[in-house]
Amino acid sequence: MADEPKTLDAAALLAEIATKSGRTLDEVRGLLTRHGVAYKPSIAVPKHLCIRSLAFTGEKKGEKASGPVSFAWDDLGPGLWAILSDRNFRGKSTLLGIMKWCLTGRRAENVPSEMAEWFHTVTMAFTLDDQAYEVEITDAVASTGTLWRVEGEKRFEQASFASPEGFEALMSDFFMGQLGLQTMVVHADIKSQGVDQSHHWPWLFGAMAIEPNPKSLFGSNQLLGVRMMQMYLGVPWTNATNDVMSAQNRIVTETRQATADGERSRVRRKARLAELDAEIALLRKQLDKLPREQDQRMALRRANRDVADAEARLREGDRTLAAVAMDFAAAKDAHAAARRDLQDFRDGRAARRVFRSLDPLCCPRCDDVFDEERKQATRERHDCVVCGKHEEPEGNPVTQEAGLKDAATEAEAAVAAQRRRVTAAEGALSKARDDREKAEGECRRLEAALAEPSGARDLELEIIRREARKEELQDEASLTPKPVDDQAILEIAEKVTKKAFKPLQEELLAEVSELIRDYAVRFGVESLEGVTLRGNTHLLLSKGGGTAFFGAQTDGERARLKIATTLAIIKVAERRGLGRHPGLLLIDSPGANEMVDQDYASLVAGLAHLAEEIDHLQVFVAAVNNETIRGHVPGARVRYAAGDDYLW
Amino acid sequence: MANPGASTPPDVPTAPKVDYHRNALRILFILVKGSRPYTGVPVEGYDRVFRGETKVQALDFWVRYPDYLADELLSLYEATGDEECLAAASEIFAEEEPDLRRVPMLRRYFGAYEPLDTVLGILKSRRLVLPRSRQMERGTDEHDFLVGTEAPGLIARALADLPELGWYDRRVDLVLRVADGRGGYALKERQHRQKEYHDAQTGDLIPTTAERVRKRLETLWRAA
Repeated sequence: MADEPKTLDAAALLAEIATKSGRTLDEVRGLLTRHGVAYKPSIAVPKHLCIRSLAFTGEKKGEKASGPVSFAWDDLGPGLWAILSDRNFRGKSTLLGIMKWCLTGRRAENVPSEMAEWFHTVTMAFTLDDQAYEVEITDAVASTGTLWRVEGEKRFEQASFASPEGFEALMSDFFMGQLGLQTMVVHADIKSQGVDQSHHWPWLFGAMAIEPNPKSLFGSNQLLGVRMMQMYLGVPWTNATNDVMSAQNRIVTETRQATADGERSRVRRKARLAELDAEIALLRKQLDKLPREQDQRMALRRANRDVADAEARLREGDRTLAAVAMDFAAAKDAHAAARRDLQDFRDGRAARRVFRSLDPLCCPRCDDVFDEERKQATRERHDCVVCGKHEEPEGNPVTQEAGLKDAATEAEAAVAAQRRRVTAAEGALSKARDDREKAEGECRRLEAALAEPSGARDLELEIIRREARKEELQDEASLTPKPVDDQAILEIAEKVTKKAFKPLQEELLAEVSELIRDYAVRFGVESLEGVTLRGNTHLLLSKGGGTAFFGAQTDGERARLKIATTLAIIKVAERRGLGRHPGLLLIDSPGANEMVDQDYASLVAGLAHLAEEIDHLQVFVAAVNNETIRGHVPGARVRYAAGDDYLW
Repeated sequence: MANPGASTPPDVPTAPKVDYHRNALRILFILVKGSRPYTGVPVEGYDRVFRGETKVQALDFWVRYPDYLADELLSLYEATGDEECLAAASEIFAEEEPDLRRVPMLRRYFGAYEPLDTVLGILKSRRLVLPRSRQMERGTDEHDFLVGTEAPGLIARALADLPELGWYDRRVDLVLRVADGRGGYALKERQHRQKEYHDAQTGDLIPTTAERVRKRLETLWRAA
């Protein structure tokens, strides 16, 4: 622990995330908390688990070998232990299964279902470092019992359970806490729904059980294997990283859901908006058909103006007509005068002709009759016979008459012109009168209409109501939450955190890889030149000049490589004081696909050596009885069922 | 021709030039047609007589103011129902006579009057008319007019030569018919009943009544 590599503390990590994302420390802390990410330093101090005893009672049912059961295996401790039988199906795997049952609280996968009701009580004692505990199942069928802490001769109840679920939860809490393990929450996307899946003790316990034909190095799930490896390696901040990645997945799912939800409500909103638009259009149409009060008032003002205008024109027309009528009368007078002049002229001319035909015979004053001499003399001189005045020849009467005629014609034209003016003035006047009447009628009509209640106000209110609803919907649209931008910060957090543990992980993996190679060779994996365990749990093997992956190996080789890997991690944890594997291995033998004797013997031999090398290591091997195993495991450490016997 | 020294100053109104020949001819028509055979002391060359200058003035007024004549015709029509009167009044307006044939007269103290001296001079010098004065019992002079034997012939010739003079012939007949043998004072009294005539200031031209009479005519015409 003293030489723990350069791990950063939580404050430093958070500060770096804050700096890189341009947020305050509080913002980052708040955001991570909101997403369930805990930046807690998890110090991986290895604790050693060791089974101390196992005992159970019950009654076997069925046709073969039925009868009461009473099994006890005491004085167990670190080192290699073997469960052997000459034949298969003699209870080896079940014995390992009962140990698993006690450690995980879960019976289902560990004890065959047909045996579910065979067991009555089970008691298993174990130690964690120096502390002793005891799992006591008092009613194995109902799953009731107690976890005891044992201090010398005394037992203290740690916790009790009364159901299968309760038992499992109890053991899970106990070991997770004791071993410094953290529940792994993985955000999975199942049928487009984000689901948080918790992986806890029963899963993590997988690192302690070696099945005969393992598919992967850690646990049974390739992807989760990385986390499991990191957990047991004791790499710091792996949980935080996992939480960050889960949070990111959750955001992606939630964003997709939110987008889908948003899309649904957008479509709904759009439909509702279209509905509202249609309703508004309809209302407007109805409103347009109605005379609006505002328009009516405007029209009334217009009509009033029209009345005033018509009246003004009437007054003006009256004045004009009066003036024009005077002109007309004057023109008529002038015309009459001109024609009278003509008439006078004609009458005068006629009169003169009448009197010229009759010369004066006497003086009108003295009545003296003119003599012939006077008549002759005055006629010759063109003098008047009465007054003696020289008679000027008359002007040409034809010319005079023509002049008078022209004057009369002109005067007539003037009359016609004035008559037209009168007609026009009268027309204007009559139009003004009509206009006034019409406008007055319109005023009366509008005033009456305004006095009537109109439905316009109600329609306008309806429109306003719908417009408001539209606005609300549009506001809602603009308020639609944007995808969370927490994602960016989480990405930064992931990078920063990974960077924090990557160097240490690389270092640890290099060390582990070297040990795997060493152990695998000891376990009999032939011609193995080099091993590289990668951060992604891929195990790369250099064999006979070529390279191969774990998955391509035979069942036996995979089992041996898996055991080598687990032991390597335990060994590195031992060396560095960093890691979480409790140092217990339950290795079930291949049943039908049993490893060839030679290989299995090598494995057991290697395990025996390693058990001496790693002093707290406890390994239970279940196998068909074999001389090699017997050669490496002392008799006191073996439970053996000879011939057709059963182990219990 | 113009003699600057003898020209009239421009600010003195010139009296309208009076056509004495036309006046003389009109008076001649009245005197001849309104005359009756002369039975007094014979005067050579004159065989008919027209009695009373007032009557000449009264008849002349009706000839010179066709609107007043029409008014009188309408009164006659109203009084007698004689449709010829209505037709005659209507004819007067149809021919625009109140405008065209009117020869304005002055209002004198006793009514419309125009001195006949010049006109009578024209007629007398040609032996067509011979004015005579009679001493009346009440002490005033009454003028009669002897009509020359040549006068009817002259009128007949003039009507034959100049048909446009037929209007005077017909008009004087109509006026005489309207007068219906009434004497000058009776006619004057009749004419004074017309407001415009009576109210005219002495020395003013007697105003026309054409518009009033036209309306009266229209009313009666519609009622007829």
